[in-house]
Amino acid sequence: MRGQFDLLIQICINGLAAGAMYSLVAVGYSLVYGVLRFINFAHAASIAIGAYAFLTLTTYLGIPIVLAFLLASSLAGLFGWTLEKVAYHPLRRSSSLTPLLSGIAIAILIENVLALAFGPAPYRLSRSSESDAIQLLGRYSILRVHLYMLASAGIAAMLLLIMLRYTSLGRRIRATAENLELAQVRGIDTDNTISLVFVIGSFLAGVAGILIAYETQVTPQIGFLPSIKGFIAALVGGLGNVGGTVIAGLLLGFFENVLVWQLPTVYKDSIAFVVLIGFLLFKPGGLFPNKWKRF
Amino acid sequence: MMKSLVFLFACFLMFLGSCQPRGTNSEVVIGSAISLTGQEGAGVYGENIRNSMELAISEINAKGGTHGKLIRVVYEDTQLQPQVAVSAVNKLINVDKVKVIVGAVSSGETLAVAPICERNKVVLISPASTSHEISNSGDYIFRTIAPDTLEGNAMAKFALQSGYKTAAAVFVDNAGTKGPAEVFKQAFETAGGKMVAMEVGPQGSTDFRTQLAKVKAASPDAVYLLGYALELGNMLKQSKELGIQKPLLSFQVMEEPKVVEIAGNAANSVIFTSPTIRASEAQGRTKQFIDAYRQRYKKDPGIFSYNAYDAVYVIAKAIERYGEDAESIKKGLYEIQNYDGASGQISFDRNGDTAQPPKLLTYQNGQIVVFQPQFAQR
Amino acid sequence: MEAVLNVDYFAHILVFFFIYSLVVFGLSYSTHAAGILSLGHGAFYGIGAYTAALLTIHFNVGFFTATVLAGLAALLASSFIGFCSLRLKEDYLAIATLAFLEVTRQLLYNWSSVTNGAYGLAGIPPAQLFGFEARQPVSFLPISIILSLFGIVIITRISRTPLGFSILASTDDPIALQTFGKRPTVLKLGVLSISAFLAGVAGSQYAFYVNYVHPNDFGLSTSIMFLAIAMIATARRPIAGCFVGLLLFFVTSELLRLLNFPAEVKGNLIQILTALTIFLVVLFRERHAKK
Repeated sequence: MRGQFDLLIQICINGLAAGAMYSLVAVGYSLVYGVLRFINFAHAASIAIGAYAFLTLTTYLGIPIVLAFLLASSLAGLFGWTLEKVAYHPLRRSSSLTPLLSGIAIAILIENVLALAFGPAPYRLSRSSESDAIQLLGRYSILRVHLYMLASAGIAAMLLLIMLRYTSLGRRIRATAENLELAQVRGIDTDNTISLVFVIGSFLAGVAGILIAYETQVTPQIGFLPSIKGFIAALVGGLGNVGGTVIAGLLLGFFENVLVWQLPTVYKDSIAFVVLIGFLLFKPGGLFPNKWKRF
Repeated sequence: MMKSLVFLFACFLMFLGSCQPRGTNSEVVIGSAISLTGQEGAGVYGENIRNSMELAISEINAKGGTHGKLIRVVYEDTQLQPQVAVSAVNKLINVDKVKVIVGAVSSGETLAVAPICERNKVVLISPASTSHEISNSGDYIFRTIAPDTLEGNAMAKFALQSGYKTAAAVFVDNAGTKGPAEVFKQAFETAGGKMVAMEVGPQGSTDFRTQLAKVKAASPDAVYLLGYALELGNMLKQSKELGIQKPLLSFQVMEEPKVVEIAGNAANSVIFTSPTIRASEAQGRTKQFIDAYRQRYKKDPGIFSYNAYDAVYVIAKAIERYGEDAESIKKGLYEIQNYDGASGQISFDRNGDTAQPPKLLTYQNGQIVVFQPQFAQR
Repeated sequence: MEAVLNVDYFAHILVFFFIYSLVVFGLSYSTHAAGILSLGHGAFYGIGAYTAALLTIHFNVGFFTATVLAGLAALLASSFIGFCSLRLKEDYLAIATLAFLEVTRQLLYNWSSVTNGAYGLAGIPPAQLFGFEARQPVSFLPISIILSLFGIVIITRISRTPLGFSILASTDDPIALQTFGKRPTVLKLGVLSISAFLAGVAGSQYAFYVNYVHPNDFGLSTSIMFLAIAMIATARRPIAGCFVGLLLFFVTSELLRLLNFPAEVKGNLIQILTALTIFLVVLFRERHAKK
């Protein structure tokens, strides 16, 4: 019986770890959707760019880790800015389908370009303690990097909430989100605001990419599954609701892992998609449908 | 409008086709359909195979080639996907007109292209596909790698002899990795053992913590881990992190250096079967091959390298003896018995299979050594 | 010069050309006329392929019967998407189709007692027609051409009838349509069902031709490829546009293959070109859209 109890605890910890990653990715999704009302599929590309940039900076250029971290994430942010200008801005006026397609196309494009540039084989980030496991209470295991992910997701969410509520940038973002035309009438540079939103979201994606790379390896497909799961978490939390998204990410991670405590483990990845379909059909607003008054 | 488009298309293709360099009469052209790219590191297998093939060919050509002609290979990438493999093989057969193809890597691909080769009477020789279903897939189908039944059975025998009453397996949902697990289970349970967990992970996955946690909770006497390089490396690493203390068993993918790269210390003391012997224990042909490979490529041969090397040599041997058309190659291959290859002794049975008996190996301080089991006295 | 004049090779390419055409016709019509963007058409293709394979392996069902049943199976499966389309806006619907695709693929993989899971289904017997076994590309080609024509006939018939214009209207102006007493949702569902049916028929052909099916053949990259081809077509020319798209796709992939690009690079290049196609088409259409 002790074995089963230990198993359950370890599964919960696994769930938390997975959830941390989903939350981190989801926050970026949620922010962009909140402002622009469309789904940025190219988020996967930002994740990959963050990871590869970090790899290049540390392994090939020998730049110290903290600096590389900031640089790589900023590069991802820069990519986000470019992405918006090239792929989304020209499509602003059309239905929400076209940016979706555009995003998917960009994601595939970047993945393959990275594969051509770096080769398809996985790279390990140089061995360091982040990838190591920590023993909890002597019998459970979690990776150090998972704790970093949890911390990052939490800090990111808090900073975002503070920014949105108390800074002028935050006010501009909220205004743009609520009513684009009205914001323009009031003299807010909405184009600039939108670009900044993308930069922030992609920066966060870059951070996620680096941490994921520590958890596993750097491959061109590194962004694929996390971005889908992150999107699901963002949807479940209520697209646009930053706080709800973080919670939803953790819940999704939990749910996935706890369910396979009893179900055959093969079905783990399907669970997220079934959840997605369920929410799409029955509760598309998510668990905490976004009320604009309380961003 | 439609008709002129189709016509233009046809002309265009014909023009392109004429640009294709043709094999001259002084060459033997071999085809190769392997995964030079593909998800999650599949390109490593293709690279290993291609390197070995090139090495073998340069050696053979330096001695005058085979049947008086030099050998050349046309490589096609299958991306580890059966559908792409089908296209690749079709191109090799119909455009490059090869009579023998070395490939494919995954059993799924080989199973998909085998009917095509059979139909077109082209010899297919796989250096990597281990599924037992391939044994019956055709007269023209061979392989220089032992079917998974051998490894699964050998490991089960070892487990039983070691006195393990229960066992668990974690494997990837893929023909080549599922096979040994199922064979192991059957052999182990027939002899009275009990499989307390059979956990599966998706192909290309890097996270097996949940599966391993469940295995740990089931308290087996030993754990059998099966995956390709990326997956296996992660399985080992995570087993250690989760504190699984039981003996870890695995199979020939352990030979792949990437596994140790990912797993680090966790690879030590893993007991695995492999038809080939490496490093300090390598003798004769195997050692020759390893040295030559190291010299040319500045690194050690990886998984499937040995088998691919042998594949080229047995093909050359068959051609030398009987000629370059498919019937001759087929005939020549079936006659190969006790050929001393880099991967072990090669003898093709009537299914085109070869059975290098797997040996037990283990890692010590990052080096592969032969494992000397000490069975408890009963 | 004899390279491509090799009939078998050319015929093989054409067989796939016409098999894909069925999927793409349906997808194109569904996207342009009914406004349902399906990112998961590969799932219908796969369901058709597996249905046909299982029917013929286990029950010795003949080619035509199996193909029809395969189409129906895909049609049935599409009812789920149809249900979603009633409740979801177009971009959410696209995501639902993606989820459907992935769940289908996982199902094909994990329900191994039926589908043989990761091993795939090998040894599918070739199509038997009027006593002939269609093993060679050349013998299969007439079948795929006929079925493709069948698809063309269905779609052009529908789109040129009053019903067809109603379908177009269901996307452009559903409210006006309703005042005429037609129901846009029912029409959309009809279009979706037909497009799924055609994809299922294509899948069945694939199974009988390649004699092997595996879950990985019916995933996201396959669906995206179909989508890219279908996108080159337009609402006004759902069929002819598909042929242009198909031509582009096949010429490019065979070009890459024949020109002996380094093998590692080909797969990535094709994906890049597919992605660029989608991106450019979307951008281009936007610039020239009537707003």
